[in-house]
Amino acid sequence: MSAAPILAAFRQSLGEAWAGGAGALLPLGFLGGAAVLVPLGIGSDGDTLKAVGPGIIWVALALASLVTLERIFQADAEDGTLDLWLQAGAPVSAIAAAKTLAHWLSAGLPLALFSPLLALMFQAEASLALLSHVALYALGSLAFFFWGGVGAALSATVRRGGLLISLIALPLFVPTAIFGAIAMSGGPGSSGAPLFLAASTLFACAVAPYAMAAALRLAAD
Amino acid sequence: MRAPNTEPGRTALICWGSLIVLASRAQLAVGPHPRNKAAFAAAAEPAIPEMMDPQAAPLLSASGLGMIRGERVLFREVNLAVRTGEALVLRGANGTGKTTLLRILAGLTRPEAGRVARREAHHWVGHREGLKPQETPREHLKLWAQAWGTNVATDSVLTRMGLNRPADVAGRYLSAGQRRRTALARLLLEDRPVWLLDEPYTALDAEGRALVDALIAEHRSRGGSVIAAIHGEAGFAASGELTL
Repeated sequence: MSAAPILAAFRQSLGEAWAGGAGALLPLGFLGGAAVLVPLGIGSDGDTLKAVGPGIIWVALALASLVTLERIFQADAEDGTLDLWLQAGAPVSAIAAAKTLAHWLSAGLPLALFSPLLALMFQAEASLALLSHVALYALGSLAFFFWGGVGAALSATVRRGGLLISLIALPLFVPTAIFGAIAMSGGPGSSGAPLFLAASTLFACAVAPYAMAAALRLAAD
Repeated sequence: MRAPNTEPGRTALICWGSLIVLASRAQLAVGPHPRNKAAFAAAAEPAIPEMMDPQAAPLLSASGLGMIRGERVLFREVNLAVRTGEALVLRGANGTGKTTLLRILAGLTRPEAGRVARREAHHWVGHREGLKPQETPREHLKLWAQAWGTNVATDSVLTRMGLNRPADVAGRYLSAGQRRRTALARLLLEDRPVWLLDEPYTALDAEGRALVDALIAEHRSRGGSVIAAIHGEAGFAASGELTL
């Protein structure tokens, strides 16, 4: 076994993300649009916005990751690339993880980097805390992408599988959302929550690739 | 956010419940119909595959293969073997399971019965080309050369396959024949003893068909073997035919 097929899968997914869906722009637009709607919906009271801001960004991040993931394995199943990856001589789980990581780099990480702007929109004070939030959002979105990848793999051969992905992945997002929100609340437990967030992300990265591999084998069967 | 351990808990419970239901349904959809399972059990014992040349171990062989799709038995008791230099042609009307058999031989699909012995590496060219809409033939060949760790000059492969003109045209603008040539070009990236081809002539012009025949002839003269599903005339002398 060599790492060459894994690197090739990573490279292909990275290229695909930028060629097909305008890369990070589409999820960024989605995230921005969702965040702009909130003040319109709940009013422009500064204290309220400040309180709900971090949570809204978590929700928008989760939904944006789901939106981008729909085609990650479906396109491969349709055009025959999946058959080739399954026979590429590398563990399917590693290929799936490489593809997911590439999609996170092109869509998830930009979302996290974009988050301070949104936080400012929600009346957050411009402080160093916003930068630490970027790290938390980045960590959390990685888990979102890996769990979303499981949903995407399971619905790879389902037409219009986007809803199915949400149904499968959203419950898996729960720990990340809980620990992420606690870490940013500044309340009790907020000092240890980042570690729990990191642990749940590690768990996702460790388990999800095997689930994706099994689902992809089933999709090709 | 305020009371994170009650509300999300209940939501998670509901969502997980639906997930479990979905998963069990997916399992049902994949597994064979119990009635057909019984039909299989009643089938005769697998015959021992005929050995034409006992000295040469087959590059790829399969014995007692059986497959169920949906409600019916697609095929059963399929035995085959290819040795060095041989070309086996799979025949049968549409829907008789030629593609499924090839997928089983490639290890993509699990057979319902029987087993496959793969002694050598194989190339797979299915009826879906594996070419991305935004990918050019040159990029495609570079990608797979990288994935397989070979350093064949992709330019010479493109020339050989008559793909010089569309080499830098994105897949979505290529004709069906050009996409097929790109898929077949993968065969030249790495020397692998077994070629599994699903209707290699599809969408090809006369020159393209002759090219496929030439590739197969060269491959066999190097000691390789081919298993191909083909409708109509094969442009090479098959060493065996299997009708499903």
